[in-house]
Amino acid sequence: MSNPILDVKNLTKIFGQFKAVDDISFSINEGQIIGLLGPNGAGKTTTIQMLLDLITPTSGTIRIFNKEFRTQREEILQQMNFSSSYTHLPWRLTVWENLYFVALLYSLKEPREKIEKILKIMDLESVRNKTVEDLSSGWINRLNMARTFLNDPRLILLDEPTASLDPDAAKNLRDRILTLRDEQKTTILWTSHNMAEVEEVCDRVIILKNGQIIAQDTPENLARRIKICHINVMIIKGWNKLKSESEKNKWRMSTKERFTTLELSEKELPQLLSILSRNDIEYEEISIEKPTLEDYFLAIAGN
Amino acid sequence: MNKYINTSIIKAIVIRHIFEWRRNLDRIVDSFWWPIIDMIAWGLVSSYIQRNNPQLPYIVSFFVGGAIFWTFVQNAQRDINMPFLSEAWNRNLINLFTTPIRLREFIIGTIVLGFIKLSLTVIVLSILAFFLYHYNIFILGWFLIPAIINLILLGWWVGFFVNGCIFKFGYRVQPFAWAIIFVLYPFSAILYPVSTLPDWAQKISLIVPTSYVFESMRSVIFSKTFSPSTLIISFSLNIFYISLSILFLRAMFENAKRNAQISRLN
Repeated sequence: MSNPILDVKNLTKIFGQFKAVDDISFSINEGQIIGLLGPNGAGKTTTIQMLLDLITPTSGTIRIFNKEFRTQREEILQQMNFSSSYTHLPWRLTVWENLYFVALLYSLKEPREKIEKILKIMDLESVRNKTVEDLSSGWINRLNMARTFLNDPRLILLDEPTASLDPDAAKNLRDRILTLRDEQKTTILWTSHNMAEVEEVCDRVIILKNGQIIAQDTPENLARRIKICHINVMIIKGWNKLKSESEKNKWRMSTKERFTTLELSEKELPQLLSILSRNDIEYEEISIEKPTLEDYFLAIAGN
Repeated sequence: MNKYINTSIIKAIVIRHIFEWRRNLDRIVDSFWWPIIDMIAWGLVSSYIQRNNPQLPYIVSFFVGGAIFWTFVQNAQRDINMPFLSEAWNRNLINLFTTPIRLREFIIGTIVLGFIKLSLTVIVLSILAFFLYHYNIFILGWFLIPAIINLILLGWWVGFFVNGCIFKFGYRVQPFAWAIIFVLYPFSAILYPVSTLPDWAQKISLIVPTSYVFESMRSVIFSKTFSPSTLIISFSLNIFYISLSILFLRAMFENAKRNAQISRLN
């Protein structure tokens, strides 16, 4: 078994009487993309900030690249990077100047060559001499990502990298991140509120709630934990009959445009089909929506 | 990479703020406009007093020298606070402190940057003072070197203390950043001798390093001599305060990390 690139043990952070992170342990292997999810106030940001030495943990250990973070901070951060859609960049500096600043902070050898390369990969060459204040949010996010990959990091922490972007720009940025990840074999810890995005990019998901890890698995396995499925059916005749049968079985039923949606457990599916045929309920289209990570997330967030 | 100091990171801090300085009118005004206005105003006041009191031959040197010297203090402090505040205003503090930078490299970076900016300000002021009032700052001779060092050191420790306060209390103490230096102004005896102050204020001025510098400046102007021991006292006080202020800043930085204050400042 390979050594974990990030190994967190019994990490706890207490602010006064409030336990923001409560004794969490997890590890990440090289090359993985791990999603860190949780409702607001679950402890995601506090966890990420402890992994970056912005917040000192109350107790617990963090080992990154097999080194103790507390004692080898600089060597570790040299091979890491961080990006958040909630931080900004010096807005009076041009794209090139921002990257040069970062290149010097990471003591890169041949910084100018590295900058040229990343400008090309992120397609930022045309705006290299523009100041950040003159860029749109799409360009700024791309610049943010360029500075994040500039030092060829082995581990990247991404805090909602596509928040505030329209779906097209978000997909574009996501594709660029994945391309760079494949080229550089980078490990990524990714937080997002976009469940479809997490399902698409993450190998594994860690779910936090009230400062504790409540689930840790692949997105598919987490979704499978939800036994409820949605049946969409276009009823031609017998809607009232279906309604009364649904009430009898305590299935939630809703109607939107021409479709009726029923919420029931997977094992009740044959029963529904039998009701439809037994009662001569005519229908034209029927589809089954499998549970998604979002369903799982909503279920645990609600509880 | 040096184990204690990474010169590339120091260079990063200096270059990043020089990039910004060139495009930021506020910073250019801070560095040149106000010091020039101050010097012109004091130059005119002193020329007027001298014209009416020919028995006071050194009055221009007295006031213009005081105005230029005070610029050292004020700008040295601002040059320590401004890079830190600028990162916070740009919401770049988190980005900065998640790189391998250490607090000491940030401190040294701001010191080097401040030194470059201050040198430019003083060159411009000295040239203007010479052409406008025939005042040559270099007539103060070797006294200038220890005097300037002491003035800059005072600006630096006040700056570190203010940065520490911002780490601890956040932006609500920001106005304090620009006002605190003026607490020392009356006790520094810039435009009058210490003996002019009331007794209690004279006692306070004994622990204000700049009071020794301005007393010595007047001594050089009037009698062409100064006592090195006064500047040694000033220097010792400054070293004591600068050590305290760096310890305070370091403690407040660690405290900010314990209380998630860095992300709040961002």
